[in-house]
Amino acid sequence: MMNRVDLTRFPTIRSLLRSRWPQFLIRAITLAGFVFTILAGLLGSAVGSHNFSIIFVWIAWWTALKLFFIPFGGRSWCSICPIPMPGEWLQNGGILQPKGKGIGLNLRWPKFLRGDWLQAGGFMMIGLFSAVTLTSPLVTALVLLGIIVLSLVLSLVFERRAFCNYLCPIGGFTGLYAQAGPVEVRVKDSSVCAAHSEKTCYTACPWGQYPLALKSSTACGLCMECLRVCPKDNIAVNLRPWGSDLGPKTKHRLDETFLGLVMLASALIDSAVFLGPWGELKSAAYAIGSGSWWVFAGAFLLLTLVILPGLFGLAVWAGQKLSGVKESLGKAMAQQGQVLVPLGMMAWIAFTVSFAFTKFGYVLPVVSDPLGNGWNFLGTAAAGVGQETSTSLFLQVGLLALGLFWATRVAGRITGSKNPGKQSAPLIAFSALFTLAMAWLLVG
Amino acid sequence: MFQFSPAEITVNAGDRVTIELVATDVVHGFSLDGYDFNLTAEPGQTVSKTFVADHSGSFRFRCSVACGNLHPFMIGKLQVGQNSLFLRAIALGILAVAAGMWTLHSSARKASKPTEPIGMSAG
Repeated sequence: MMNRVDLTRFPTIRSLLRSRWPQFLIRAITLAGFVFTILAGLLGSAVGSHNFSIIFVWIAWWTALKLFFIPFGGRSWCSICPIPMPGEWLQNGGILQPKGKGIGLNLRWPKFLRGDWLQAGGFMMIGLFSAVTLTSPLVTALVLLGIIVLSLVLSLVFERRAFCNYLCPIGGFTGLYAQAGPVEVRVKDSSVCAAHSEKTCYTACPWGQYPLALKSSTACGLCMECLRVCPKDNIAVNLRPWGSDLGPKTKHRLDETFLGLVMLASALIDSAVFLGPWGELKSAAYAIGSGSWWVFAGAFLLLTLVILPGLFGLAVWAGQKLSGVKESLGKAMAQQGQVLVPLGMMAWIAFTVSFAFTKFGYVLPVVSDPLGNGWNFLGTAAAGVGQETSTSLFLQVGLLALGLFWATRVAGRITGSKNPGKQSAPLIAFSALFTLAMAWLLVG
Repeated sequence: MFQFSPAEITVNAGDRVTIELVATDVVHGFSLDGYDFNLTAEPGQTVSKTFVADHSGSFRFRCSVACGNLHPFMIGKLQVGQNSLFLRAIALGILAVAAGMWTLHSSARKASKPTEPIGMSAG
């Protein structure tokens, strides 16, 4: 394709991607970091801002994911994520690559549990309990421990990466926004695949993807196994324009739209709780089980499950009425849910810029004193309070405006009616309303 | 515990503003974005400091002393005069929509030239 650059054309990059060692070494480091994070959460200071687990997971990693991994690499984090490693070792019967017969029942994931519904639910749970998860080292450690154990157990029962594919809330987040990312794995020549009967790429793919059928990067974890096993050298790792998976020709499901709406709601709620001046809201979100928390949880669910989906559904319905397009509302919502991808991604990046500018001052102190025990290994233990500068505020405004510009373009391109202007106008109004709310929360 | 009261303060640009910080439970601090202004108060103690609010806009103030789990999120807001950044954000949003529609319109016009099929560009 003309607007793609196949990275495997460059010999050094090709060897780095084809060899399992570089990826294994990076994953070994992330696994060690993951284990250390759990230990720090269990054994270190109970004060979140003094504990490595809180600062590295919710400030350093969460920031890097949204500012670097997703916008520049799509699901690139998934390619070095340590969570599925132990389960995969057992499934493969080997550490670096499959060797002989592995352990596990190898069952297929139930059909009725497929799609993004569970991942969206998981992300909602993170949001509901975020004030505690993001501030309590013990809770963060237990959540991480629970996740890796669940991933291990599921890999012993089900085939491939069941946890990553269907349950991981972060996988849902990265998969959704990977559609806008600039990296993709695709086949070079589809006729070569069609003539190759063994499908070694599909057999080797831990994500259960068949590269010839890949039309979107949502479910491809960029693990590069297909590249390594293809006997025909027919796999490309392309750099592509941002947003390449979004358009009138790609197929989308209603669960993707729901996931996109959950992400929008979470961006709004996290901005209000963590960056807003409303102390009572923070206290309510923190006091799990109390009366005020139930009110918070009710408002959270109302926004996530009723108000935002209702407004979005209304926008899609109004677009159909205005343009005279006759299509089921569910199908139209699934297709037009693509608008939520640039809108949500840029909103999360803007939120993260605000968050990172003010909270990054906590990172160096916990490097010197990871358990909050009063150590000072590197002489950086003195915590400094961060400030939002005018640069960070302008950047947030610019990012939100870019998201709205991008969403407007996507809305206009995907409607497919003879009156794209009329059909997309309500979607653009929905996007503008969301952007206005985010701008008010971040710089208002 | 992790909140300022009042959490939102509105003043006019150019006002002399005196902040009296009273910590009612543990040690708290007060650091104001955009201004070189910092206060720290021991429990039960009142400290105060005055500054001139000479920058207009909306500024967050934060607790600057680790006071517990929600400390990084103990935030308040000082509004000085008009928040022109928010108004500019609204104007930029309108421009973003207009630019998005204009670029769509131009690609649709290019795509509808006689030699090419009528429709929107997929790119």
